[in-house]
Amino acid sequence: MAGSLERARAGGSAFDREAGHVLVVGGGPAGLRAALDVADLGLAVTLVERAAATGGTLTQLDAQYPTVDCGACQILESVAGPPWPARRCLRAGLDHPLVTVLTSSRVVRAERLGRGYEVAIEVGGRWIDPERCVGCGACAEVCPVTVPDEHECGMRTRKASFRRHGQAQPPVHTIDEAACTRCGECVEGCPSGAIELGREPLEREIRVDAVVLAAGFSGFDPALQPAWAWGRHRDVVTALELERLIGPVVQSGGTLRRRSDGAPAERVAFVQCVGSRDEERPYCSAICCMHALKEAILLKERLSVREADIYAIDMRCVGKGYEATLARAFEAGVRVVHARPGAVEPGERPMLRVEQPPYGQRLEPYDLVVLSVGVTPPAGLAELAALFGVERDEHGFVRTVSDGLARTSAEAVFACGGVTGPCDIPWSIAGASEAAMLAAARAGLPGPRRVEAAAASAVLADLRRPEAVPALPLRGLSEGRVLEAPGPEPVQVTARALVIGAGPAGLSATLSIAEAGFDVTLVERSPKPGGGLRWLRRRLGGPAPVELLEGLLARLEATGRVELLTETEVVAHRGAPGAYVATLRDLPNGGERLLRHGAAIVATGARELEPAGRFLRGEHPSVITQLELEERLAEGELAGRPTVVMIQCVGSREPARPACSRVCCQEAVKNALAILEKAPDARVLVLHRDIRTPGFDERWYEAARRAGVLFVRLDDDRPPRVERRQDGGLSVVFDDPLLGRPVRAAADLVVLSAGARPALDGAGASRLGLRLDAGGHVVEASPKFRPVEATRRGLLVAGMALAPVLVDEAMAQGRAAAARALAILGRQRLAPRPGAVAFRAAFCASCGLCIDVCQAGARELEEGKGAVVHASLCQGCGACVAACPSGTTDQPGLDSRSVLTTIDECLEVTS
Amino acid sequence: MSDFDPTIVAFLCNWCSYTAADLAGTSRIAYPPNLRIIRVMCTGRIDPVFVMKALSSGADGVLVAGCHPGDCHYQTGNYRARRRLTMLKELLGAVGIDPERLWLRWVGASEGDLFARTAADMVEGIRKLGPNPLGRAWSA
Repeated sequence: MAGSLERARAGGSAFDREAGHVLVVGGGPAGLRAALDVADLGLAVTLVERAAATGGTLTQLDAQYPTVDCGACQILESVAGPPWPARRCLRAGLDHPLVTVLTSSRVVRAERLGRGYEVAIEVGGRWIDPERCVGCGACAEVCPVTVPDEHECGMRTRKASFRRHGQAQPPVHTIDEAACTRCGECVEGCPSGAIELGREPLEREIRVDAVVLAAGFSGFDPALQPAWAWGRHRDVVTALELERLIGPVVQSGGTLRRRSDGAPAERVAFVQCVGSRDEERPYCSAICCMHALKEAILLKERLSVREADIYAIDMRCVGKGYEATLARAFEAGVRVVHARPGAVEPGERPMLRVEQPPYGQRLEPYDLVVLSVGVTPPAGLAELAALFGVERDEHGFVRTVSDGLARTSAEAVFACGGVTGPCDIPWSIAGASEAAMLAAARAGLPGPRRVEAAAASAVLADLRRPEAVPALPLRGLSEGRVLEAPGPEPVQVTARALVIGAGPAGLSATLSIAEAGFDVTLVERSPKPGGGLRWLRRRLGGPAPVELLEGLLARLEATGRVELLTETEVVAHRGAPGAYVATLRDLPNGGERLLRHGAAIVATGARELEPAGRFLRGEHPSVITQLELEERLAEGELAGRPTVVMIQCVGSREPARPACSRVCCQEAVKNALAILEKAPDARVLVLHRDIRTPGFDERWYEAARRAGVLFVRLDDDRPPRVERRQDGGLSVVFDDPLLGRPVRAAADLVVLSAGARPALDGAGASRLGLRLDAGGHVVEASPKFRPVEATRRGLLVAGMALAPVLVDEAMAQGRAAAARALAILGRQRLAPRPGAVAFRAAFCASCGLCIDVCQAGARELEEGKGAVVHASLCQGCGACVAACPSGTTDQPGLDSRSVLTTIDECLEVTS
Repeated sequence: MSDFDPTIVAFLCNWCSYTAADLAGTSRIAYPPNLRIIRVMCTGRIDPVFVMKALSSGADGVLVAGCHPGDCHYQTGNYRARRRLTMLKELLGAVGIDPERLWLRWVGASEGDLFARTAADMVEGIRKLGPNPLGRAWSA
């Protein structure tokens, strides 16, 4: 711990007041990310986790969608946090000097105190003293009590003394106090005398300035729907149970076996929406479609499964790269059946009763039926929310309030991840960073008055040990020295941010940074700021875009720290985190100026695609786009009894533009509802391929259907046709799969749901050092775990530049990016990362091999110097060292000479 | 030959395979003690010289283990290692060293048991090949 404290001071924060204190409840991905982000801003964090180890549900998963690989080593990355020895796999937990992790603990009281809370935490898990436990497991060996192992979804057993999983941190055993019989065998068996059965939990009180609720989610209990035979037939499992069944074999291949008789499972069915999109839980659980797809791909690609069928109402692949995962699944031979099965008939094999119009009812035998159970609030959320006076919604989740994803009804309490509703990891992480930003702002970010030697570091006490209780509350101390890291010079940080794009993402990012007391230059290409907030006229829920915009602009003005440059473009961008130089061009007069800044956020947004030439667009005045319809509705130009036909996925999910545009389904539902508001007798027909309204947006889809909007699913390969009638009007012709014949509908208005087209082009992206994917969206460092960071270290991205998003999501990403930017700006100097490679110019032949292998963009040819290393970009992988033919590059601590010596030493021992 | 106890130098990447070895340890899965483990941040760091050095200094086998394809913490390091070591295997044959003395394996962070199995398999495989002739000749 001493080592990490020193490292924290060396790269320490220069916030010039004693640090505030934030409580994070929940240690899953969202909680860990929020804690790390708050700590990166120089504030102390106490993280309370109910289980014996952090990591949450994610520790039970071996591969992640959309990429279907692991990636758990990416999540604990921080912009300016602890260097690589402390960055580890998610399963191994978080190690940051400003974060105190309390496992087996819970919040028992919370009282308002000043702007924050005084919180009482019950610290449990003390029957085994973690200081004395050596993790040998002797206690588990002698323990006579066997209980179902929750980490294995109860499909295996564990002892009452256990470790949640092999990599669980802290690396000690815990006693399941409810299961323990207090027989005392383990007390005898423990070689280090660490066990004292019945040791009382400690109660600790701390004062916190803000609270982040990240307590995760639960899965719907399929026993509540007996028709699925779950619990009665061993070959009916939940999606999470399937994860644990395939966990041991999935990475390196193997055979999936039936649970009933151990025979290879050849036919597997996934049943979607078990406990979602029904009367009781009308919301969509948002994660199950992708989860099922991922599992189906694993079964087909890596295991022996012959058939993997997914039964779904809609395939809701709503997210970046998700449509590509759907395509990959089809390529692997996964079948999607648009039907909602009714039951499993138990027999020797589970028989799935499928009703699929127009084919009627049938029974399909499977080796394994996987129930994609929905998302429900976590156990204990009601009590937790009540402690902090936080409102919950009708389903029991924490109610969040616009704008963004993380605000709750209580002003010092923020929420992220599963507690806010169904939410997959990229949104848990973005929401966590947003919550961290808001919580840190509330706890007090004092701005950049630079004090040379100030370094925020908390004196951390182990709250488990009563004798070590510090004076409370825990506060950061100012230490009078900065430890110099060896190697390259630290970068002096310029205390200004550059935000590119003044839409919802850019504006919210700018505001967060400016309100933290830093200057921001906000660059916008068009004449007015606002972006989507200007061209959207209403939203599904939440205040109108124009109100949001006016509020944001007024607050920006009030900070006095924002330089807004409209009709300006960034034409060059160089440097590294902490010290960038941008060239800004004034578009009307062509004048250029240089701007020095320490952090950059790209929020260049997207526009509606112009579907010229499609469906008579441009040839008939009544063929318009959704945004044009929105404009007409706002201006009140729709009355009478019109027939409106909407066509979804124009310019999306097509061979030329395969990605889903994410926002068009909501846009269509929103406009359909608005039409019926204005003209109640209107007829609205929506021709779609899947209606993708994930999470609580399902309620709007439901509302539209109840209001009489007709939604017709068309087959993917049978798009509708728009024709001009003899009388000059329009008709739409489509094959109705239910009727099984073509239908012709006369239409007064044809509305095309044109996709989103990112504003940043390839040239613009390469000027900024960003990579674009095939759809023109910025590639992030890790789509799952680092959703607002670009592949080039330190560059941040938010909003539609990444992928199509709704307004609240864009604003959340903006704040998330702001948190990362402030982690850089809050430091006076950015120390080079330990592990960064070192370069000796004298021998460099400028061959450039190192530049090709470097994924971080840290190597660059400089005239007269050779292939220099940008130490702050270097990830320390050492690939360039291996690639260098002339030995100019080496890796301190892992230099070639040391490795060769080590090899000899290894071999000498034995000879 | 049955009493031959091979010595294997194992280069493990920090993120996946070293973590897996660690997991095998903390899960107390037994595997043969013949491995001398050297941690590198990424298999992409492994210079073929390291492998040659180990073999020429008498190691009976060299194991390189890293993240599964797609899982590399640095995106592409394991692909580079795969290319380099495939090439190196060709060269090993050319200089008279059995290419089967060099193993490249993917072992993920949660695969402690696979790591232990790989170690056992490799020790068995090298045992069949017999001692590294270079090791004996040079140390004599």
